[in-house]
Amino acid sequence: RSVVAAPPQDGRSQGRCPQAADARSGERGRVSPQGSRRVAMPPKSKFVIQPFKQHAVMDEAYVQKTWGTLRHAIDEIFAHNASGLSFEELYRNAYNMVLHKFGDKLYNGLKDTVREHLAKMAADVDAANDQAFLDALNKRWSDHKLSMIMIRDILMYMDRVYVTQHKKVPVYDLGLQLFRDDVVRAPRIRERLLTQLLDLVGRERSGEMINRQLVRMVVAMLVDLGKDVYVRDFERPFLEKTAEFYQRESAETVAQNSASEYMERAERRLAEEEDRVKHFLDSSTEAKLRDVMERELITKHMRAIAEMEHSGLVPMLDNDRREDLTRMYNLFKRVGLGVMRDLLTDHVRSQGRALVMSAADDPAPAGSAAGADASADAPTPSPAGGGPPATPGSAQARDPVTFVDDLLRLKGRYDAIIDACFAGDKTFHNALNRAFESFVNLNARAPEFLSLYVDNLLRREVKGSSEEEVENTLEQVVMLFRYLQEKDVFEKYYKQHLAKRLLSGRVVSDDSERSMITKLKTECGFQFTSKIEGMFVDMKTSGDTMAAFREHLASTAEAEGNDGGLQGKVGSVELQVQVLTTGYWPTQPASVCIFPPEIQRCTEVFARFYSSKHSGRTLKWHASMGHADLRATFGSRHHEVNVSTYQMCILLLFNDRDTVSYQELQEATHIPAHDLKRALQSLACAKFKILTKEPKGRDVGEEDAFAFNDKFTAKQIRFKVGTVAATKETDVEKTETRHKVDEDRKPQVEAAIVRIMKSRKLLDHNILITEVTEQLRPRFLPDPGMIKKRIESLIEREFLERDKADWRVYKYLA
Amino acid sequence: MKRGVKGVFARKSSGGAAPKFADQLWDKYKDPKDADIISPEGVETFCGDLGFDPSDVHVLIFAWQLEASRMGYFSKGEWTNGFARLRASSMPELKAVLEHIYQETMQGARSMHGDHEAFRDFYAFAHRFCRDDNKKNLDTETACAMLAMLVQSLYPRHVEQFAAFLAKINRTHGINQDEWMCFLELCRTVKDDCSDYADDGAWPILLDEYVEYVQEGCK
Repeated sequence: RSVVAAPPQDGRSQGRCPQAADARSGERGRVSPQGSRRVAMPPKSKFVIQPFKQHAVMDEAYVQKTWGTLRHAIDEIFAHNASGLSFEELYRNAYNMVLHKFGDKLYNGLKDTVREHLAKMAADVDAANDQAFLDALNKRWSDHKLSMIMIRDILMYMDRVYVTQHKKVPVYDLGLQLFRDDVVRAPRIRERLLTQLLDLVGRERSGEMINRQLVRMVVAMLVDLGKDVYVRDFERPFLEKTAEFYQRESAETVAQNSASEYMERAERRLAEEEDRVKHFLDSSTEAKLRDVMERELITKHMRAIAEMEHSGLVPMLDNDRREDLTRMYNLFKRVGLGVMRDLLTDHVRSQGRALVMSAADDPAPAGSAAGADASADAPTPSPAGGGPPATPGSAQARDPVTFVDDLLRLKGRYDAIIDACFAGDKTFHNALNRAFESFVNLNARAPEFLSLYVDNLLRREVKGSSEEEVENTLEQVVMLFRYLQEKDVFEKYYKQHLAKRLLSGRVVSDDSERSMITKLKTECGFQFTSKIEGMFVDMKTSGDTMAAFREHLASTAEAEGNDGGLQGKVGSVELQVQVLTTGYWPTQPASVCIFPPEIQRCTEVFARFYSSKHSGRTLKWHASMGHADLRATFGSRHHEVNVSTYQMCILLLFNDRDTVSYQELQEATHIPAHDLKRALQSLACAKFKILTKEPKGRDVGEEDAFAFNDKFTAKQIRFKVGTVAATKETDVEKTETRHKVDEDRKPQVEAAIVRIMKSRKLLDHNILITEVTEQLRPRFLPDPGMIKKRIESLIEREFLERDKADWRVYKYLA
Repeated sequence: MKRGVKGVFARKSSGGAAPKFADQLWDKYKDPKDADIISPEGVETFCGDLGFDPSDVHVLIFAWQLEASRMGYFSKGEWTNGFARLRASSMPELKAVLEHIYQETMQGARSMHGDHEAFRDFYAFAHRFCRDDNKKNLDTETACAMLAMLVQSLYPRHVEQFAAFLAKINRTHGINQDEWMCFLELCRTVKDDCSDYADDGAWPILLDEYVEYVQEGCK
C-alpha cells in the first residue's frame, strides 16, 4: 500500500524519498509529520521512536501524477461519469497535494479545468436556438451545481486548509463565480439571457402563457450567483423595461379610456405584477416593482384621471359612482391622497358656495308678498338622503329651510361617500369640515337661517316626524352650527325665534326644546344658554303669577259682587299676561300701540296687582308678541277667531264703524306701519277675509280702506288668522340685529383683552390680536379693526398703556 | 427737561437768590381774593411783564417747567418748586432761561440722535395741560393750534396734512392722549407722504385713517 516515490525529475526538489510511514502516520493523524519533535513521549516509555530527520518532500512527478488523477476525476464528473471514481482515493490525492504545499497547483489546476468545461458549456448554450436557450442554460446550471458539489467533496481538505489559509474563494463558490463569469456573463449569453427573460415577461404581460417554471429557475440561478448578479443582470433592466412598458400602456389607456376603465386596468396590472413577483421573481423585487408600477400607473396620471371631464372624480361624485370612488381611493392611497382630497374639497366648496350664494342674494325681503299664512306654511323639508345633489341656484334654495336642508343633504351625501368608499378616512372628513366651514360663513345670514330651520322643525314636529327623527335632525343642525363663525349671531336669532315660539304657545315639545339647548350648552358652555334657560323660567313664573292674579280678581270681585271677576275676568276680558325679565329676552323695539279701552283697563288692573306684589318693577307692554281670542258675529254666524294683539286692536275698531281707512287705523292704533300692513294683509287678503279691502289686491297700500265683511263664512267655528310666523328678517331688522350683535361683542372683546393682558402684563400688538381672536373663536370671529378699537378704548380708560420703550407693546395697568 | 435745567445751572450760579425772587413775584401776581393761587389775570400780567404773549410757546415752557396742572393758574407749591428748579433771580434771567430750555428742547427733537425725550415730555405735557378739566380729549381746534405751535417747525407737512384731515372728517370729540402721542411717533418715523407706513396694526385707528387719507392724495 505504500507509495514509492519516483526520483526527482529536476534539481529543484532536494527531498529524499518519502517514507511510507510518513504518509500513513499523516493518514492516521496521530503524529504530525513535521511536528514530531514537538511531541514528547511519556517519560515512562522505554521505547523512543525517533522521528525522521529528513523532510518528506513530494517530488514533481508524483505531484503531476496525483494532479493527473484528480484532473481526470474532474473531467469525469463534468462528463456525468462519476460513478467509477473512488472518493477516498481522490480525497487522499487532494489531501496529499495540499499537505505537500501543492495547494496552489491544485487550486489553479482546478480553476483552469473548470473553466475549460465552462467554455464548452458556454459554447453549447450559445449554440442553442432561442427556444432552447434558457432550457439549455438552466440544464447546464443544475449540472454544474451538482458537479461542483462533488468536486467540493473531493477537495474538501483543500477547502479547509489551503483556502482558509490563503483566503481564497472556496471550491463551490469558485465554481459559481466561474459559471457567472464564463457562462452567464459571456458576452453573447448575457445579452441573450436578458433579452429572453424580458421577452418572456413581456409576452406574459400581453397575455401569452409562458413557462413560468423555467423563468423561475433561471431567475433563481441569477440569485444564487449573487444578489448583485440578479440586480445588475436582470432586475435593473427589468424595472426599466417595466417602466417603459407601463409608461406607454398607461399613456395610451389614459388617452383612450374613461377614468373608471383606466383604474380597473391599473388595478388589474398591479395585481398581475404582484403575482409575477410571487411566482418567478425574487421577493426583494416586490417593493421596487411596486414603486415603478405606482409611479407609472398612478402618480404620473393621478391628476389627469381625477380631473377627467366626463369620468373623473367630479362626475363620479355627482353620479354617485361608489364602486369607482372606492377603486380610486384604494388606488390613489398607494401614492398619496392629496390630489383626490383637494379635488373633492374644491368640488364640495364650489357646490356649497353656489348653494350659499344663491341663498344669500335673495332680493325680495321675505314675508312681504306671500303674507303670514304663506310663510307659516313654509315648504316642508323634503326627506334627506340620496338622490341627485341639490341644484344650487334654483329658486327654492333661497328659502331658509331649503337652504339648511340643502346644506344637510350635501353634508350627508359626502359623509356617506367618505364612509362607504373612503374607509371613513379621517383626513377626508376633516377636509370636508373645513370646506363647509369656508362656505357656510359666506352667507352672512347663515346663523339666522339655521335658527329659522330649528324654529320650523320645533314648531311642526308633531305633524310629521317622531321625536327620534327630530333629535337626529337637531344633531345635524348642531353639526352645522359648529361651522358657524358667528355663533353669537345665531344665539341672537335663536332667542328671537324661541321667544316667538314660547309666547305664541307654539312650543310643541318641551323635550325637544330642552334637548337643543343642552346641545348648545355642550358646544358653547353654560354662558351661551343661561339666558335662554332664563326664558323658560320666566314662562313658568308667569304661569304662577297668572294663577295668583286670578285668585286676586276672584277675591276682589267677591267683595264687589262682580261676576266677571269670579271667573278671572276684567270686565268681559280674560287676561293672560306673560311677565318677561328684561335681559333674558330679545329686546323688542318698544311697541307703540294704543289698546282699545277695555283692554287698556285690563292692563291697568294687572299692573296694579303686579306692583303690589313686586314693588319697584316696571311693566312694559309688548303688543307685538301677544295674541287674542275674539268672539265675532258675521251676520248670524258666530265664530271664535284667534288673532294677534295688533289684529285684535284693529278688529275692535270695527265694533263702532263698518268702514275704516288705513290712515284712520294708523291714527287710532299707532301700530308701526310695517306691522300694521302685515296684520291687515292677513285679515283682508289671506285665507280668512274678515275684512274687505278697497281697492282689492294682494298688497296693502296707505290709501286703502277696509270694511267689516258681514258675508264672511268659515267651515270651522274656531279658527286662527295667520299668526305671523318667523320669517327672514327685513333689511331694517337685519341691520338692527347686526348692530345689537356688535354692541354685545364690545364687552366680550374688552373682557378678552383684559383677561389676556392681566396674565401677560406686556404684549405686542399683533400677538394680542391673535390671542384675542383665538379666545373668542368659539363665539364669533372678531374683526381686527374692532379689537383695535377696543384696545384704544381701554388705553383711554387707563386699563392699558403703551410701553415707554416700544409703542407697539401694550402694558397692563393693574 | 433735566438737561435743559442743568445746562442753565452750569452757567449761572445765582442759586441763592431764586427763592427770594420767587416770593417777590408771587406776592406781586397772586390772586387778591385767594392767596394760594395765581389766577388768569395774574398770569396775564406776569406774561406781559415777562414780555410774552400768553399764547407764546415760552409761556408753555414755563408752565411745563413748573409742572402746572391747570391752565391759567399756578399754585403756590408749583411756583416755589418750579422757581427752585429754574434758578432765575430776575425777569431777564428768567426769560433767558426759558429761551434756553426751549432751544435745547427743540434741538433735541430736531437732531436724529439727540435727546428726544425732553421734547416728548413737553409734547405730552401740552396735551395734559391744554385739555379742559375732567376731559380725556384735547378738543380738535386746540390740538391743531398746539401742533402748529410745537411740531410745525419740525414736521411741517404732517402737521398741515393732519389738520386738513381732521377738518375733513369733522372730528368733533377731540384727540386723546394716545392718539396725540402716536401722532408724534408717526411724524418721527413715517415719511411725509406716508409711503413707508408699516401697517403693523398697532397705530390708533385715527392714524390709520390719516395715512389712508394721505396715501390717497389728501382727497
